[in-house]
Amino acid sequence: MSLSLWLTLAYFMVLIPLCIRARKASQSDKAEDHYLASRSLGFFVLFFTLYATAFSGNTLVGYTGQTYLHGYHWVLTVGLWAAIAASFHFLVPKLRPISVQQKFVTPGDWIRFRFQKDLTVLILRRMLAICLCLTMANFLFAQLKAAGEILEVITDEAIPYTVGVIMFALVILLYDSIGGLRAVAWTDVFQGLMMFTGSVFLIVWMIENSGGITALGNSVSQLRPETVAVPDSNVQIRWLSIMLLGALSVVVYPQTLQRVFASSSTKTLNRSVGALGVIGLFTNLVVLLVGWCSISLFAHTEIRNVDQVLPMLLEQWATSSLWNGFAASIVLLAILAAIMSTADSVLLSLVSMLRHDIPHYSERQGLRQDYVIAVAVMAAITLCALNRDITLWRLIVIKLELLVQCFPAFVIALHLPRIRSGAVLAGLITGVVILFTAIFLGMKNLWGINAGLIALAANLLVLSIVYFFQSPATGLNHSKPRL
Amino acid sequence: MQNKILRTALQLLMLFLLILSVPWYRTPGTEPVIYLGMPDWVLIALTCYVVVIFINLLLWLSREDPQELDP
Repeated sequence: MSLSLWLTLAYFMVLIPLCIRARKASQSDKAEDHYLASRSLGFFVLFFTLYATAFSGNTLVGYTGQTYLHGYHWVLTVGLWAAIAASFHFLVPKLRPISVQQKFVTPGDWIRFRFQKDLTVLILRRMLAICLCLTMANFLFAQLKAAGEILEVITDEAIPYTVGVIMFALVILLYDSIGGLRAVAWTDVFQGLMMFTGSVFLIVWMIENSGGITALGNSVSQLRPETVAVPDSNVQIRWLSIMLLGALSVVVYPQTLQRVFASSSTKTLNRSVGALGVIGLFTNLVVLLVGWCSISLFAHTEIRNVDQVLPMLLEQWATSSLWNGFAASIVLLAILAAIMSTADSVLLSLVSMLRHDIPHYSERQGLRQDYVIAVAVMAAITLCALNRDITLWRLIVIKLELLVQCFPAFVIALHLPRIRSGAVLAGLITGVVILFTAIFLGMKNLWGINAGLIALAANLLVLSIVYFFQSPATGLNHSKPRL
Repeated sequence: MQNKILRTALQLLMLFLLILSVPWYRTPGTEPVIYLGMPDWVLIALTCYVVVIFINLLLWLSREDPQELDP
């Protein structure tokens, strides 16, 4: 599949001038310019950067594999997306005006502002930053893993998994450091367009191979008969809990929060978030249908790792004719684009939080330390990504489970002005301890309910108890700001 | 959309559709009716999600936020 390799190289080459142009457009070496492109993102760029960042290698590669495995039951991923899209109403309309007024750059700025007079604000900010950084590190790890898996399959192991992972890490690190969010957002436009084009090509493949929706449905019913009947209560509880988990966690993604801060206007942001829901639904439906198609395609093939279903499908498609080879290569580029666009945004957010949300005070001028942190973080995560013994779906779930513990600090604190940092901190500590205990014990769910949601329930219970017992005498008027 | 009640009602409708998409009201294990080669509960779920996304788009596009200063 040398055509794919050439197209991949050409694709990397296209990104370079974009990065250089972004670097030239950079107005200063301030954090606000590097991480938020001086809050200048218009509709076109913001929409595509939200799309390209929201849909990652996990989504395209991981979901296809899981659909292949679970048949009709995997319709829950479309529900996951619908719940995520709806959840932005909890946060964006209230947070956006405050973020403009207070000039937020990182998620930690919200904590600084919201709990500015509380004793435990610093501990809360650091603990939240650590949780968010861990989820981001997990996310980046998953992108590198997905990239390594794909390159190995399409090159018939000519590029081994290890080399693929390192190569991707270097490319992402390069353009992330050169141009900051401006470069990331501009390349995301190109990558978002690639993803949309790839989705359209996948529909072409599906029409060619499925024989129509009815034939596709019939083949899934024959090959995955256990998924045809109305699902049992365990599957239903899992379905509901995955939707709830997604809705409460994705809304506090640091890279999404920073795009809320970076929009040129509220109207632009509203239009972009609305349009994101539509294009996300389209992409999820395509992935679902392709996963169902792959069930009949690989009915007699033994697949050891379901994350390789999509790469195998592309490889098979590419060998059938020259045109199909080109189309498969475009889809491959779309997947690489999804991986890269997510990875670059995640790296940028991760570095911004390490640099500004963990230290006591954050210096908003000069970027030298940021570059050093970026290299160190990428090196550490690349080393971790060399471990392949975990599926992409499991990585997604662990990430969401940890992220959802941060929901009260951002969304509940946004809507309930009387909540203090002590209550949020107590809840967060409880949730994280329970979650890590569950992960350590290998407990993924209890009565079908996701372990992350059980930890969140404990988190909210402790938050409520502390909230009701906290002393009103130590209220906002009696203390000095603790930034 | 200035009408806060209508906005809240649409948000609650989205929540209702998301809950309705999971067939908790059906007896587990029963054989479904097949449409387009697919079980009816799959098509109901997909229809609910499409409607949720449509309402979501409508809510975002109709939001009239107060004028803000350019950042």
